[in-house]
Amino acid sequence: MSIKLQNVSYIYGLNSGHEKVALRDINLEINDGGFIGIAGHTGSGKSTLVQLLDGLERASSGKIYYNGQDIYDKSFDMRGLRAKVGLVFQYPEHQLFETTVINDVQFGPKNLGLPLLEVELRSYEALKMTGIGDDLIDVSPFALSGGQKRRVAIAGVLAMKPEVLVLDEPAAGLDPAGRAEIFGLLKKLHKENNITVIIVSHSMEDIAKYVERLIVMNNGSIVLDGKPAEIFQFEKELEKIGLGVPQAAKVIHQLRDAGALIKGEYITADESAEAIYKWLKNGEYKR
Amino acid sequence: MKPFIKAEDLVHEYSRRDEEGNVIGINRALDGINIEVQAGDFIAVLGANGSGKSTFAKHLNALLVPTEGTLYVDGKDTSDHKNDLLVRQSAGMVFQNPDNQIVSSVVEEDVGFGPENMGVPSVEIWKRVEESLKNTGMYEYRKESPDHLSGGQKQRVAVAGIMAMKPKCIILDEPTAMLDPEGRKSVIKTARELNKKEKITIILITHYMEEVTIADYVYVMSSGQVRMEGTPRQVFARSEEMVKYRLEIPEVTKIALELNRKGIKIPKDILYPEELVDILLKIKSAGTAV
Repeated sequence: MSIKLQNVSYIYGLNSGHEKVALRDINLEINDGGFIGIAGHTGSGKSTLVQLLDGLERASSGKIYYNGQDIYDKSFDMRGLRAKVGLVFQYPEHQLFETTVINDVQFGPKNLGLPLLEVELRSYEALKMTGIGDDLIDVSPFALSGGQKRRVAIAGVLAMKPEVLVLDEPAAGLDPAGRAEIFGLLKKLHKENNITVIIVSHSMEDIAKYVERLIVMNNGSIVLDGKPAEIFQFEKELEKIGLGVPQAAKVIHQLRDAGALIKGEYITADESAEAIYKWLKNGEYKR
Repeated sequence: MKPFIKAEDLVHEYSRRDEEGNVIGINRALDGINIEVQAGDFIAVLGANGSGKSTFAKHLNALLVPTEGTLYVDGKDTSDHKNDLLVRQSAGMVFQNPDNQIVSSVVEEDVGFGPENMGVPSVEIWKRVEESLKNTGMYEYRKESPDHLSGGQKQRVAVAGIMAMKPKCIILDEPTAMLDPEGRKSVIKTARELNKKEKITIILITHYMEEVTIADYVYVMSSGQVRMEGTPRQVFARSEEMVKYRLEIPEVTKIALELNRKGIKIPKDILYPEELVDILLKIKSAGTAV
């Protein structure tokens, strides 16, 4: 699997007199097996970008290649793309509608026109992957807790066997334990099932601990792209565009500003505490 | 002084019904809540999903009434429906989703909607609209359509709409859950300023830990009961219990606790990065960590 965006721009309301540029000249390559975060404040263009990836919106200019094929080519199978790029919208549990959990999960693969046996197999598998127990499959999805509903909604997308799973704010509205559970689940899917996962979020602090690569967007452009630890060096720049850095990184930066000689970037509280401990024991100040 | 809000053994039960409407089960969402809030306080209620905190919020606004026990808001018993309007005028409510609570196509009209429905004379309405929009930092957007605002700005318009009804108390039920960090900050800052300058009692319901550090007092709810209470510092120093209730403590507090575990003598109740850095620099220069 590979997705490649070449000079992609997207303008809302083109030729309407109220044009708004949502994406400008995006160049981006996403390859197999990544665990990627796309961060940006509200209106930075991250959701538009995601909708281009699965062909829901069409770029105003530029090219998008999926596995080397131009997705705007007339012969390109757009329907197939939507099965391969599984999109999980914000608050996906609002889209549950069937009478039982299993029926809801089956809706997607059924629409792909697969044989019933295959549909059932995929659905059970998807529910298992998301940690929904057998005792819940015949229950109404509306009787489940918020966290469970969200996992059922994700299972519905997984049952399409996507190569890439794209999730828009997957942890929105969940309590801290629920957030950790969802991110843990995505990490597991990524590792055990080799699915490429792309998480879109405005809380970089939340996703920093999990993702391998972080893409930061502002005003329709990609402004930073790299490993989380590299990205968080740019604390001031990030704050200027309405994003935060984890408090663990912030503390280290402030110590450094005060002259402390501490190398490296730290994202979690434990990592940060370890670095601070070492510095307190036998660290130095900059000369 | 008489408390502004007083809950005495407050219980709320939701009944689950089958298709014919027969009760098939009872869900005890609030299970004996005792809370007292003084006028002018900034109170935070923390709790995981399903802990009962939003049910409690709905009681404060008389959207729900006690199954058992009593709740007084501004001295009025909420179980008496004759008090509904009075309770709602004393305690205004801001909900999670800004798009669900904006009714007009122009910001200033939206803010005027509440007082207009209360029968406030129009000269007074416009005075209040101006004042509320200035208080929430949204005055320059008064002629805009709410569609053109960000989530945080919309929430501040919703807060202004409540302000214009001159409540003594504002209840914010997860007001920042759908906002980005910038929007979150602006809403919390607005709440804090209204509390400080206008002496409005604030009840903030949330599961973002960083937002409650500014509260005077924090209640932690789980399975319909108040499990912990105290100042933010007192509550966050008890990290294991917080985790048990599906919550977490701020990262800075975690770092302080971890350093403590490693044998560094550092207070366990640190809330802000600046504070931690200050203490660390002092420890370093005292040379006591070596």
